[in-house]
Amino acid sequence: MLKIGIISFAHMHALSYASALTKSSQAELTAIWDDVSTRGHEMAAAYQANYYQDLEEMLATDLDAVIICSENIHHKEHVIKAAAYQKHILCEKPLATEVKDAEVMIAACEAQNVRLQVAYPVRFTSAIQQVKELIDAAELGNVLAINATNHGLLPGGWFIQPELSGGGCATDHIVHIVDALRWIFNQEVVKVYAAFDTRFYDIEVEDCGQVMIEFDSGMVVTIDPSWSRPKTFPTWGDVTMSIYGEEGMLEVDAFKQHHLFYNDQKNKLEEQVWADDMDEALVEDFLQCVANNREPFITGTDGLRTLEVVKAAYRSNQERKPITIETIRGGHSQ
Amino acid sequence: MIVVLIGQEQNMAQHITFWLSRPGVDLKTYLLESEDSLAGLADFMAALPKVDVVDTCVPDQYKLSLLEQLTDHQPIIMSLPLAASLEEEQQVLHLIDEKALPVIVANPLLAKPEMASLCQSMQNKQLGKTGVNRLSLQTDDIDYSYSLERQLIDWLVQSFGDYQSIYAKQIRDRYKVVQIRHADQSFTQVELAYQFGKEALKVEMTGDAGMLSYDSAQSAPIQLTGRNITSRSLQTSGKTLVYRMYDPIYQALQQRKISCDYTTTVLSYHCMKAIDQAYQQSEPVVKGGAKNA
Repeated sequence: MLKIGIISFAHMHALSYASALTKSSQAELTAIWDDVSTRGHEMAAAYQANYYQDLEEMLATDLDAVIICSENIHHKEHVIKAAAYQKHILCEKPLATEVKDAEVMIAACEAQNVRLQVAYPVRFTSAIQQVKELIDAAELGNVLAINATNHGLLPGGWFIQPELSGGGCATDHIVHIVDALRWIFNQEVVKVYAAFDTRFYDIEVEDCGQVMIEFDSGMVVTIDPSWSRPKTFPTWGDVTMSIYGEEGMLEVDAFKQHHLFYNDQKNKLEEQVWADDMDEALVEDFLQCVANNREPFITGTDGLRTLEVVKAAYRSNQERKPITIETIRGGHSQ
Repeated sequence: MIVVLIGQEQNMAQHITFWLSRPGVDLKTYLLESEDSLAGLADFMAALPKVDVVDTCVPDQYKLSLLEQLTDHQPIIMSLPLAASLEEEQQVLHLIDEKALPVIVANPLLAKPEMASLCQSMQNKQLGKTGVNRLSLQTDDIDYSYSLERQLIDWLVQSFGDYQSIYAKQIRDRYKVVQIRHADQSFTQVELAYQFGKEALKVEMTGDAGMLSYDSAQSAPIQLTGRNITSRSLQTSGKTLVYRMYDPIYQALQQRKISCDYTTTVLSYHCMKAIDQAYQQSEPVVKGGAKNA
């Protein structure tokens, strides 16, 4: 039985991963560290795990792996520390807030022979996996363009504090679509144009915008990453894609498999998803990767490549012109 | 009220039905068999007593020649697009300006109740401070692509205002995507997808006070399914499009409150020009040529 620790419950996905661990037959959640001790104690009690106030003390135990769900800005420190103690790592996205940090984190894991997986659960939804099969089978022929969205409600909390999140909706939402498309099409992004603004809320980070990217085949992809869903929206947001190919089109709504709940208690319509849980599939894959000592399905390099796109988007917004990924990798201005 | 209807026979039926249904209308029709038939228009008009309004239902490529023939200053109703191409529309707008022609521009898309309602919601600031708007038009009707795009961009300018910057990509004649930053800093993405086997118009508008969405594929009130598993959606239309476009004009004429302000048409023409330019270059097109603030 693999012993897993969770580093911080700052990100709400930690709850989902912890729940997935309780359902797993090959692992158990044995340790929790959190810099907010009340939250740490509460979670340790809820999941019958040990709470550690000292992260290094936890990492010094016989844990096989850790799941990092701290604020984005702390991912670098926590990944490097966990790697130093030779713990395999599932890191919440984004891998880091700066490209050079992500590179250092990947190198640290490689040096310690530690597996590093990045949490991009969208790849694990049955709809996206089926899309991959259809594309691989060339059902659409050559794909020309994709119109994608990853909308959301305002997450609040540290997500809107730039010193902890590293950015707003662009940091939070561009990566899921880019990762899924890189995987589906086995292509890389070459150019990014983006514009962002803060129009919905009085916050310090961007809450909306639009992005247009070009892949190396010439495929044009637009992404709307906005936290634009109103408070009354029936769910947290969406992941949708309209994929246009020479031979036809695919319209994908990754979370379409839901019941509608007309909730009189909350005076709100709600979507109750009945599809298989993507977070469970993500955690299960990570556990198999650790157990079988194989390369993760989603590697640190995947995390780095998506981060490069996010940074290109921010620079494009700043300079008001398209930015090539080469520029971001080279670290110099266009 | 004397109404002159100029057009081709096959396009006139709904116009005739409308005008004849309005009290007090004396309808005169001028049949246009070809562009050459315009030569007799001046004589036809001269023989009439004072004309209150000229209604036109002619092919887009005839509109410039038609306007050249009209010299009196009676209101002229003309639907968008005003020409068959942007280059020709520039000439039409120049002519209207030069001759001070009182042209009433009617946008058929804006007359559709679903689109009129969305536009009105934006003009009434129902969504508060506007955020990100998204339009997607999927159609196989590529022959009318210019007409559809011209009407859509006009609707967009009427709803969200003028552009500040535009970034766009075009993939042959099948796919176009346009990202617009408006003068008020809100965003709109317009997607135009041709010949992908689907007919749909989707609109989503968001603001800090809520969100409005429309999907033509989800709004048909009737679904007819046959035993052989064929299925079709039936969209009920109620009043005809011509009625929706023309009745407000008729009412305004009756009350002598007709407006021939085509400012928005000019703005949307320039927006179309900017989009066209954005397809040709890899940088965004910025209003006035400067970097957007």
